[in-house]
Amino acid sequence: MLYINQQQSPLQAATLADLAQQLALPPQGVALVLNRQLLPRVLWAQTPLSTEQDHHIEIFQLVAGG
Amino acid sequence: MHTETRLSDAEFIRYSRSLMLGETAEARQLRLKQARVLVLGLGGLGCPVATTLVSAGVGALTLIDGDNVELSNLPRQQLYQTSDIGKPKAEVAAARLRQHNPHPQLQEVQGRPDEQRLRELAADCDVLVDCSDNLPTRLQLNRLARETGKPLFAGAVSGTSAQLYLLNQYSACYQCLVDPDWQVLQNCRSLGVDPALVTLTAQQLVWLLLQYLQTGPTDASDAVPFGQANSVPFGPANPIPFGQANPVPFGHYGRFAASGNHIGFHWYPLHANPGCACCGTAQQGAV
Ligand SMILES: [Zn+2]
Repeated sequence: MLYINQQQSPLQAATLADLAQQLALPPQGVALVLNRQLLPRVLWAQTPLSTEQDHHIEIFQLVAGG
Repeated sequence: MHTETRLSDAEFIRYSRSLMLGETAEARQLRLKQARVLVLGLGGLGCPVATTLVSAGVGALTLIDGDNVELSNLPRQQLYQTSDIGKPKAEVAAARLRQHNPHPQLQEVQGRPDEQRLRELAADCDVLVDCSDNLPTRLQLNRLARETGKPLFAGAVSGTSAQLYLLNQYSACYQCLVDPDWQVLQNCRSLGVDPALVTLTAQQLVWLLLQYLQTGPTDASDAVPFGQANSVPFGPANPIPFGQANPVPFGHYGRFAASGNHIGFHWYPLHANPGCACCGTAQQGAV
C-alpha cells in the first residue's frame, strides 16, 4: 500500500519518477521522502516502488527564505 | 579557534546558570569561548541565532549582511528598533550585541562579500551558519563549506514552512538536493513569514549548534546515536554514526510539522547525488 503525506493512495507506480509524473510534481523545488529517506531527484528514476511492502511517502515544497 | 584557556571572574558570574549544568559545564563553556562562528544573514533567522550565541558566550562571531533595516523586518528581527530603519543591519546588530555582552569578539561585515572574501571569512571560522534569504547565497555557502571542510548549519523559512539542514564534509551537500537553476518563488516577500515560527526555527538551529560547539570527544562517545530511538536507518550519506563522532545529526534535513502529538522538526537522512557538481564522485575525481 502506498501512503502519500499520511493518506492512503490508489496510485500504482513502478518507480518514484513514475509516481512524480503521475502526481505532476513541479520540476524543481520539491522534496520527496521515501520511508524516511530524503532522496534527491536524480535518484527517483532508479528507485523502484515494490508492491510487496508498504511505502510511506512525504512530499513537500522546499523553501529558501530567511 | 582561540587559545583562551580560562573564564574571567566576570564570565563566571555571567554564565553561572549555564555552569550549573553538570560536571562538564565549565569545559563546555570554555569550548564555546574558543569557537568562532560565521553567521550569514541577519534577518529573521540570523537575529535570534546571533543573539543566543552572544548571550550564551560564544568566543567570536563574524556577522554578514548587506541589507538595511526595513519597517517590515521588525515583527521578526528583534535586534532592530524602529529608530534603526534605514541603517545597515550588520552594524546595528553588532552594536546591540556588544551592549548585551562585551565578551565575544564581533566582526561585522556590512555588504555582500565576493567569493574570495567570503572564502577567507569562512576559513577563519569553526562553523558556518546559513541564515540567508536566497538560493544563490545558499549554494555559495554550501560550496565554501565543502571547500573549507567547515560544518554547515542552515535554516530556511517561508510562509508557514520551516526547514533546517546540517551538513559536513562526510555527508551529502545542499546541491545534491536542489537544482541550481531552481527559480525560488516561495520567499518571505511573496509568501510572508510566521514571526514565531522563524524564531522557533532559529532557536532549534542554535540549540543544535551549541550542542556541537560545546561537546567534547568524551561527551560525544556517551551520547545516544541520533535516530536510534526511532530506528531511523543511517543512509549512505551518513558514514559517521551520530553520537559517536558528533552529537548533532549531520547529513539530515529537518522539516517542521505540527500534527498528532508531535510538534517540531522531523529529520530525514539526505542521500547524496553521486553526480553532484559540488560534492559528487565525478567532481572529486576531477580534482
Ligand atoms: Zn552534493
